[in-house]
Amino acid sequence: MVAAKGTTKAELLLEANVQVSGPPMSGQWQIKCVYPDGAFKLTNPLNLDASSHTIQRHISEHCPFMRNRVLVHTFNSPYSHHTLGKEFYVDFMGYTEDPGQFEIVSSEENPLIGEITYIGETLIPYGKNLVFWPIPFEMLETYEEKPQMLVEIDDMPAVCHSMECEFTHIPAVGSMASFTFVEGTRTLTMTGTELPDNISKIQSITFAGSTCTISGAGEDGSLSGTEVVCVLDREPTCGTWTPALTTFLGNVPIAEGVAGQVVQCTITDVTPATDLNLLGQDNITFTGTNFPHEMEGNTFELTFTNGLSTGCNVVETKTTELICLTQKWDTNADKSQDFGMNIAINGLALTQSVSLRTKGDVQASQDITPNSASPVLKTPIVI
Amino acid sequence: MHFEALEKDTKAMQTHLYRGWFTPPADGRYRFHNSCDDHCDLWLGNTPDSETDITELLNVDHWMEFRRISYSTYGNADRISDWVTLQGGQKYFIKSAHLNGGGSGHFATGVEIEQAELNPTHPRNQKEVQRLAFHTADVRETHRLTITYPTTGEIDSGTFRLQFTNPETLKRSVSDELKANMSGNSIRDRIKGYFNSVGVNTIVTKKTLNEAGEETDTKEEIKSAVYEIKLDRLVSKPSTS
Repeated sequence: MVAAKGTTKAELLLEANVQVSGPPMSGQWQIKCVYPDGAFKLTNPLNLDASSHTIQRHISEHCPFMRNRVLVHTFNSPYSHHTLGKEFYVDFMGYTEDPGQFEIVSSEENPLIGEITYIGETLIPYGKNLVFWPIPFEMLETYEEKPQMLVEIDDMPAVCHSMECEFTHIPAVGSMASFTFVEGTRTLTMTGTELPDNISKIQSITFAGSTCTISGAGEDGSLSGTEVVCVLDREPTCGTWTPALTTFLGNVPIAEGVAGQVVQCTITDVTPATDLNLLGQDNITFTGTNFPHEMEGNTFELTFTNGLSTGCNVVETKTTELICLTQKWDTNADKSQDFGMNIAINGLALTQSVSLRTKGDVQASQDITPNSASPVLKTPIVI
Repeated sequence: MHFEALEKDTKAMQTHLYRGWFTPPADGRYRFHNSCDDHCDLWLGNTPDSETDITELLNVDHWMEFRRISYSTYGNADRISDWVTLQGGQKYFIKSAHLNGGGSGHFATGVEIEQAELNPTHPRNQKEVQRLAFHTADVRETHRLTITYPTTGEIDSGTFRLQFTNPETLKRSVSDELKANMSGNSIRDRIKGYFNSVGVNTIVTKKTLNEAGEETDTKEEIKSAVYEIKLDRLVSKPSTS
């Protein structure tokens, strides 16, 4: 760059001098996540222009202890470009231990080039003070006692009656003091105070994986207000349950000390119970009662009592039948052995015992004919 | 919702008013942190359930980065309130006003509870902050341009142009006319066309000196102006010759 000749009435004296650039920084870097016990993990190499979001994602992915517990910010960086340097802040959230000092290290495969200075410092040390930012909603209440709501129906804004869309928070109404469930008749009886006094006030009742229909109401739908009786719409599901009684004012709380009622499953038959393939992939069908009606919303844990605790993954369920797919056994130690099963459904262990026997040999095919087949025409194959 | 307004919710030239009730989770000492762009305050009730017996805890009159609440201890003490003693489970009136000038804005208030063991695993409980950085030697290409005025104090008259030569293509480029008393930012705006064409930006600073070479802002004493045109990054080849 040179100063061009002045064109003003008075002559300006212009001088220019130049300082050339130092070499730009290049290469990749990694974060050393140091755990409270001094152990550490390294992130994958990062580029010089990595964003705070990328840095945070790498820490979460490669430092499992930190997963979802760090926030990375890049505030006004003192470096105007990533060829000069990088600075960011790491917030540790929800920790119960003092994390070690994180460090930045040069990548081994593509090291940083330049006269590099590394900085790692703790600005706010781990302490007993709790800092919530922002103030979480659990500590806040609205000023308005009847805040307005934005109402949408099928994604279209709705106008409330009289232009008022007030929502009033009220304490929960009523209390369920006790309940009983008679499995033979599928009858659920709930007693308490300020229970709904009319069917019209009840939105739903669910228990043991089933909805429940009111019985014993007056012709006008009236109820006593201290007792609600209903009958399950289908067979109960095994587990430990308390009723969920929902009125148009919300859920009716259950009094402290009211224990859940256990509903057991029963097994009447298991097929096949012998010659289980040591390589797994047998569909075992349990016949019985009170199995879950559907997979969704239920938990299943089925394992054999062999050394490997071979699992059996539930693939299908209905109230009288449950099917699971076996995993691989120990092909040496588990040959021709009888094993029991540990079965827990919805966290409730089955008290019945079952016994199944494995095959003596690993199933293996000896021949397959034909040894080639048309990609278009159907061809029977014999194994 | 939490006690904050995100950037997407805050437009230019807007004022937001917030009011509600803060319920401390336990007896103890509390202090509050504000972070906003551009101005915000914070008021808290002295006694539970009162909307009138209140004290202004914070009044922040400069912008800061989004949610940069706990960094306030570093040169921004006005963003942290004094400790106040509160009773757990009681409702304290809380209100805040936030004013955003130009551009995007934001607002957030945090709370710090002294020596508390309450729910330390809460996902919003910040337990430690670390700063990590690395940098190389800052030796950026810098062009220093000195204008010596014919007469001391006569800085308003006179114009000039700067000529650049692209070192690779040897193509020449001449800037718009520049006044001899321009600010650094004005010079930057008029030469950025060339520098952008070679993939860099510049930062231009200006110093005015008297006859003795000392800095001065008094117009009558100014004998020369020194513009420092510095690239915003390190480059492997000169940007101009």
